[in-house]
Amino acid sequence: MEKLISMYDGLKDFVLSYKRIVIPLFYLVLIPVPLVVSNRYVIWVLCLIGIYSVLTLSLNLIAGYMGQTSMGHAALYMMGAYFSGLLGSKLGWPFWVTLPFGILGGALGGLILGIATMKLSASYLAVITLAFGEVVEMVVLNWNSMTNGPLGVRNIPGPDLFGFGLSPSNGGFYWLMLALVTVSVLISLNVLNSKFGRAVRAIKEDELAAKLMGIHTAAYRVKTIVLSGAMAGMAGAFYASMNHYIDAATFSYDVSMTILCIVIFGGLGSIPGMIIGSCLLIAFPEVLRSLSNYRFVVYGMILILMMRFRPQGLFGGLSKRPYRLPKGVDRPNIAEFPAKADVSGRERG
Amino acid sequence: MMFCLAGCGNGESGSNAESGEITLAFSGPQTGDFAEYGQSMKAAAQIAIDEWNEKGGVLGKQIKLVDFDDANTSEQAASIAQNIVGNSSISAVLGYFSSGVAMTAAEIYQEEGIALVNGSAAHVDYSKIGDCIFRNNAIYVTEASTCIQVTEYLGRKKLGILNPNSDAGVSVTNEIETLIEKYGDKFSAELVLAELYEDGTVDFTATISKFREAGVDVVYSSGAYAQMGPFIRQYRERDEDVVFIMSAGCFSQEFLDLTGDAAEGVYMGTSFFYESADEKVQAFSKKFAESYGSNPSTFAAQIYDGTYAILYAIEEGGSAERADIVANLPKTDFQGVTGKITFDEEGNVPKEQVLLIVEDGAYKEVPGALLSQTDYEAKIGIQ
Amino acid sequence: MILEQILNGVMLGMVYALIAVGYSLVFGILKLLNMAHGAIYAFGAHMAFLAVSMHFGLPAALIFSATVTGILSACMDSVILAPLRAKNAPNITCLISVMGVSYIIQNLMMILFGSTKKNFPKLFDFGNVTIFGVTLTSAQIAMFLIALLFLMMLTLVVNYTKAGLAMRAVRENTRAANLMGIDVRRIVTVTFFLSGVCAAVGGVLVSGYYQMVYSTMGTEAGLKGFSAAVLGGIGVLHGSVIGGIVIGVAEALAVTYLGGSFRSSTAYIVLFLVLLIRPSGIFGRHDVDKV
Repeated sequence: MEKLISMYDGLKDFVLSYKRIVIPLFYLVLIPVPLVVSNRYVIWVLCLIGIYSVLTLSLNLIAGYMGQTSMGHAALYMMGAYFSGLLGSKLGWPFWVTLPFGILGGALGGLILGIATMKLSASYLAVITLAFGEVVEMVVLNWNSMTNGPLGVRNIPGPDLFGFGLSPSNGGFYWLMLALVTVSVLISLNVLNSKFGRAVRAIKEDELAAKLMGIHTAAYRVKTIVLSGAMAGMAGAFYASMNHYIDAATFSYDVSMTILCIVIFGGLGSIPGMIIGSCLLIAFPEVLRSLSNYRFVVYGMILILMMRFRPQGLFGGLSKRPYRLPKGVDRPNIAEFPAKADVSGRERG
Repeated sequence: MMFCLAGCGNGESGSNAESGEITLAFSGPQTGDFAEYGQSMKAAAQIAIDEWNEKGGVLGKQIKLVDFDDANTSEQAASIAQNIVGNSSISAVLGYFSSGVAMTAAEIYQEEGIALVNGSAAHVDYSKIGDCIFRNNAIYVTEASTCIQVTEYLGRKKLGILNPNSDAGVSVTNEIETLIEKYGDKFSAELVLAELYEDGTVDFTATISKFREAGVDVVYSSGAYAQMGPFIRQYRERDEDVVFIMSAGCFSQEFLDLTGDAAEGVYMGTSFFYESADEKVQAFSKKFAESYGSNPSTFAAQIYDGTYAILYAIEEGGSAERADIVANLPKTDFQGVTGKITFDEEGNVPKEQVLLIVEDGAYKEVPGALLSQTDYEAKIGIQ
Repeated sequence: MILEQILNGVMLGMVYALIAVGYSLVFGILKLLNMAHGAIYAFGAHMAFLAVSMHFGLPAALIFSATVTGILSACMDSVILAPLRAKNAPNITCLISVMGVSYIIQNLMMILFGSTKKNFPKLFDFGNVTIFGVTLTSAQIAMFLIALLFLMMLTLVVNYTKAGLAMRAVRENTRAANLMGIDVRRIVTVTFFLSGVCAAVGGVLVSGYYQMVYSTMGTEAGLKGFSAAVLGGIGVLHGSVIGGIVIGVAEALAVTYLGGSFRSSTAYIVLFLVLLIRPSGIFGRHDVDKV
């Protein structure tokens, strides 16, 4: 078993260290998919995987980088979907105009959450997000004049490009999704390698120590949650325009749990982990419909087993490569400088 | 993985011509919170198909039902719809439980021109999605008329409404208010309180206190048995005299089991009653009890008739092509187990309901208590 | 009317208090939000349902359910949480693990028992009592009194027995307690067992009160109970009771003045406000981070 894990880690490190070859290859395979695969169901599922990739990358900012967790991420997703969907449906605005409002909606949700939990410990954030999810659902269900209440929002326009409608069936939406995932990955990478990202990860390692180092922890926490909300809102706007219909029941607690489960499975803090985790867990119920009864039992097992045996997830973990210092910082001349490129998610202790 | 998916999707396409079978798809919750509804609807569809196959199928071909589990979620329903659309052997689709889920899928079927026949959606806009979208379910208009008529029939004066805060519940409440306004002094009772409840409510004591404070003597609800059971129980403990009028959502064995003694004397309107003297109903109920183990619910019976409607449309048009089914479904006209099945221009089946009452732990019919809405309006003299 | 609604709220509040104490017990010692508590509570109710349907009679069913549920809860700790604590894993790891447990229990129950609501025998029925023009059912009064009695017993156990003393010692300072010869590992197991028993007793009482069991009964009740625990000051037992009652009354009043569709979110809005204004709750102590 141990040997198997180390072999797997070796393979993983090997693949990850040839990024420059693997990534273009990846795109070379992914881009022509709609031209080759005519089955719209496959394209639809791939688009769904794309949306979940963005959602998990968004939760990854909170869970992977900051070491906190959200159990109500569907609420941020829902706010994005409703902000953009309502504008599209009621005012007939095109997708590209409503998208920023969707992002804004998610960010607003993040801001409320962030301010409410500014001074609380990580456990409370989990619970507050859960409660927040319920409250958002209550608002959507009861504010009939605005949200159409339980009747949901219909006729949400799909995106177009120069008058050419992009939908999953003509493959256009798929390419859009690919672009969206790419953008989300770039955002995550930027966060990871910026001053902002280092501050956030310092909070994860030891909030008190980070505070003593002069990091304004509360402000960074709020900012991270807002950014995460904006990304979830973006995913929501895309979902609304893909499905053309949204209602409150779509963004249930199960969606929040699915997102969290993918993040844990893929590996806290690991960007490829989010995408491959989404592929596996979103395709799982599609491929194995006979097992769908046990889907959430399997999710529960994943959470427990991952936490127990591999808290860094499938794709997280200590890399053997040396830590990349930011430009302008000289490497200290210590022979056994700890090679801790801390994307890891390996916890204290 | 992607190619595996591609395999699943493509595997069956084109089998229509080769195998000489006609394939219908059913999608409904087979797992999760609403599993019992989906499972019973699927059993009913299968019974209808077995009956046709015994007679020699349709157009000389055997009929096959493929089923999908959407767990009553929009996300799964959309994936399944894409799957069905991409599978050219499937001629038409049955099922979906909740309106929101059905509508997500309906948008996709409408776009691709496949007929969808549903037996449980209550949303106002469901059948307005397009000409491919049909339903065989009593919609909110019928429910509202039932509420008005039964209140008059019982001679009660203070009506209270407790509907779920859902698409169906909100529509029914609005429609009852519209009807009361329309009937004016032809309706002798007064609507004193209209309340909503959340899905998942267990403790209704606060709502009951409100009703009692307002002096309500008859309560109408279109809610499901899971909430109405505890509601009626808690109300009964405090008030012996109040009368309850329920809808098809409480027409099931589970309702009787859950509500126990408190269910005695509860009225409900439904478009299907398994003890009806009608031969077809008797035959269907017997088969259903054999294969599923309980009496059929209204939703199951409605899907059974919906399956017949599709098969008649195939026979009528002499073709199992998707577009021909869509074209021929509006011509449907037969006597099913849930009454006369004809689709109006929107794709709804106008329903007539019978009134049932619970007596000694079983449902009994109250004959002649309910009329169709037009007949009732003619009777009380409203244009 | 208003008096009746407040009493309705108090009765409902006792339901939440029964669940809240389970959270408080575990949090008091481990600083862990036991998110599986709601599912364990539903499990307890189902075990009693199983025993009742095999004609065990209610008292036997209660004892059976309390034992089985207590063991489940203790097992969850020793199989899943103890190894994590041994690795000194951060709290969030434990939190995610117990969420996994709650998901497994709830979904397995849904598969085994089905998703329908099932009838559970009524605990008490002596007719109704009218006080100051307010009608209370005997089930309500009995539920209130039994719950109160049970919570008082629990408080006695924690405050006046040797095991309770050890529990409080572990809460104050785990390491010092260990040095004083307290078997911390055992105390934690006992605490989990006790919280499982609380969940089962709560599950049976509430099921008997509403006369039904169903597989998802723990989700909302668990969250409400948690809100109650936080409001009262999590880790403080009598705080849970007060918190439960406040939330129950708030809910009843929300239904009265706003309508039934605002019912469940009231508890969460209360939770939100408490965490904003006074995160340690009404009776909670303010803990200071030590370096």
